[in-house]
Amino acid sequence: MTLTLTPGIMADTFAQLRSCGRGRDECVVYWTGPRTVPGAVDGVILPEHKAGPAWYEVDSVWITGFFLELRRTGRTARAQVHSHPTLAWHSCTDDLYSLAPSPGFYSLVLPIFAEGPVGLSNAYLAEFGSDGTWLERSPAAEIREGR
Amino acid sequence: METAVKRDTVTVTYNGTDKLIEYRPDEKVRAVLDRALDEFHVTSNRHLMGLFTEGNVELPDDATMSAAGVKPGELLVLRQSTVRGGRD
Repeated sequence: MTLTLTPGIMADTFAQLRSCGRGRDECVVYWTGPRTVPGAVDGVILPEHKAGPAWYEVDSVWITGFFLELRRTGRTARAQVHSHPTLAWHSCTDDLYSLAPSPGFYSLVLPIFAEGPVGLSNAYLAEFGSDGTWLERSPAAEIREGR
Repeated sequence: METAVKRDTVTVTYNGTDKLIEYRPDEKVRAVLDRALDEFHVTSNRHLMGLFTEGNVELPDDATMSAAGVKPGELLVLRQSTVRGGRD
């Protein structure tokens, strides 16, 4: 399943990660879309969270409210996107504590606090597989920006 | 002759999708949680997941559904108990 982003999603993602992380803290956003349109991403949601140079944690009350809001609006979270201070990769923490550890959910990691060029250069992408593990994917092959 | 066992249902929502899950009031929350995890195909690190009320109270795994205060027809949220990430 590829993710199809409406125009502006990638730029909005970088803008939020940069604005919130200010080049010194990690940050996370969620890519959302209508549940009935497979792979569609037309929303970028910044959760309430705390973060430091090498970590983030999402507010518990916010998570429950977010899932209730997705239910109410017929939407779903298709990916989490977060920044790392240096290289992009999937840490043990990333493996264990994602928003939605079920098949088809993606996790995109952007290097250098997302301060680099807007795009997928040097990004790391993983998809949660049906075997319960994260599988590395090619960002360029799995993420397409609409025009 | 089999005796019919009364089973109630709760709606469990996870990442925007709902499933109806049957339960007995005297059943442990953990058993209902396991059925919900099966329904949503969550197969690994299941001990990190929990059932939450709409008011964000996590149901204790070892309590019965009745003792946890769950009522038939209630909406519960399936989610990770903690969501975090990072390089470390």
